[in-house]
Amino acid sequence: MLSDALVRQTLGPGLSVVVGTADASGTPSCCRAVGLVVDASAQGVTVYLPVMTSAAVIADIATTGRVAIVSSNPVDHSTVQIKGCRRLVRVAGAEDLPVVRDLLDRLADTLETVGLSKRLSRSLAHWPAFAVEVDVDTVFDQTPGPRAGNLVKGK
Amino acid sequence: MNAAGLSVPLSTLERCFQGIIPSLVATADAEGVPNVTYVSQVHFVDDRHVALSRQFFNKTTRNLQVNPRACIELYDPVTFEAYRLRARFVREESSGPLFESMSLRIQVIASHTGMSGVFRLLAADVFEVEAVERVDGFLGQLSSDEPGDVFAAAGFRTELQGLQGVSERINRAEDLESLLETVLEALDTHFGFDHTMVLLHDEACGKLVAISSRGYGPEGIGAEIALGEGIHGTVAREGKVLRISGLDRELRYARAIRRETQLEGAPVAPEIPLPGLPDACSTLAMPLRVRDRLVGVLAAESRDPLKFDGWDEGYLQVVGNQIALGIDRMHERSVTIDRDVPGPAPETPASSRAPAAQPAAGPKHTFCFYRNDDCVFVNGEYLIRNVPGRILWKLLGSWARDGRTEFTNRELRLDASLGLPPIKDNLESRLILLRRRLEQKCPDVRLVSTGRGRFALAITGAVDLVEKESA
Repeated sequence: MLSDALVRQTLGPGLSVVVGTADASGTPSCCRAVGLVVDASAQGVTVYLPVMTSAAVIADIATTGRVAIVSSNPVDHSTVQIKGCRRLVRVAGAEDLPVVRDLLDRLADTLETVGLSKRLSRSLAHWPAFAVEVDVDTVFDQTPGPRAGNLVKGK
Repeated sequence: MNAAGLSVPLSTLERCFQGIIPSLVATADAEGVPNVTYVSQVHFVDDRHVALSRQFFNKTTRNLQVNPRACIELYDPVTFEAYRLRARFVREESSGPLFESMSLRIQVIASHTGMSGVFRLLAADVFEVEAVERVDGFLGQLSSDEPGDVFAAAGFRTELQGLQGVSERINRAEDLESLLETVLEALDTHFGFDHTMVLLHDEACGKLVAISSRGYGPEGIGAEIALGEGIHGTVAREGKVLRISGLDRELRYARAIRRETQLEGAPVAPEIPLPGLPDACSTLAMPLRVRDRLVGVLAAESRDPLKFDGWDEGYLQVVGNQIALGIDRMHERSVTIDRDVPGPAPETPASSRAPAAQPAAGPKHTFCFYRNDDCVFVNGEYLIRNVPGRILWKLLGSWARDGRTEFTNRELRLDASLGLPPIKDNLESRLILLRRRLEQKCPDVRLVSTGRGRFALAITGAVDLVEKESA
């Protein structure tokens, strides 16, 4: 599912990741993520959400299981949206901390190239975090332009 | 709760609506499948409504048609606080003031990136905001190991004194050149606008011509922009003020669309180079008008993405009106002065004509005039075109044939071959442009004022004149 080089490129570290959900009545919520990591199987991702800012999103995931994740390169706006279902939601543990810190550092490197100071971006909420493991159903191209919304992978 | 019933009034979130940090919009379809996307800017409509620009018919649009609920997350680029808006899509607008204001911004970016017609506003999607919440904990403790924040807050303002200072300088100016120079200097001194430019409308060629600038060096003078092209051309054609924050990000966004469009095989025009700062993050451009007549464009740029706000836009319009009137007054004054200057001297009899003496030593310059587009090159480099080009060629020709060095504005106005418009001929601005281009490209040939409505051609070194049909 996520083995395609182009898809992996737009899901790599250092990119800006956001998550969208909806509750049982269809009311949407969204929040920023610290980042995501593609599973070794290339069938799913683990996305890290700051506990402080993701309460509504986590509640929606617990209720409906559905998740939309956008990963975008702030420099050239190349973007993908992946959609899938919750496999597991857990509080990120000590073993996740180096991963989360690395994601934040890589994001800060990227944001610095578009004018945001590392001091500021390293201060973004990131810990404690939820680790949301998602099985990916579909991948869409979401780079701004006429091809935005095109299905890249999935049914 | 404020009067609109929101715990955080939308009007207090002005910085969030400037489009400096992209916002998030989440929607869901009829089955509750979520979708989330970045939007470059959320527009403030009133205390209860915001709008999103729709350039493509996308998943967000389709979702809103079946489920009007949306969650919008905004970011303050100064404090980096986040706000979540619970909103309901209520209508789309494809005409009217809101649409036109949002469309102008997109037209400018599209034109600047060669995407006119491809990248355009389809509709303004208007949302009623039902709740606003500040996202607590979005930004943690700032680390202290790296000094300085990315964006400086607005400094102390003395706009009224500034307006007074600009007005005084406009009133004291003796001619167009000093008016433009002192006004741009005053904008720098009083308002901290250190990169500014005035482009005048040349009705004869239907273009804007950069006539005076501050902060850029001399290179931009003489740059021409067609009405409707780029930021300045669009402002001139539409007759509306344009303020863009986060310009660098908007251009990156548009270029992403351009790249994608090219991949799809659609034709796009060559990109127009932005006159001015290559790394500008914000710009403010306004048409200079006297009644319904376009006089030119005043433009300011900054590397600070938050340099210009709504207040700047307001008082700069006051300054702009004064500058437009000042420019107009200088043109009128120039015409009046020239009427008092004696007409051209009777033509020198052929027997008495003496070609200009060429010095034996010193630099040699070759001027080439191309008849097909009235374009003059000097030493193989582009110098000037159109009416100023024809004026230069007339002056150099008189000098070479008859040794003349003294000229009057009046004789230029009476020379039909130059193609000056019968009214509002902008002769003074054309001579300023010619003088400045010569200073840049060939300082050995100068136009020197010798009194009201008079000037001299001062030449150091040897000059060759070549005339060709085309390049």
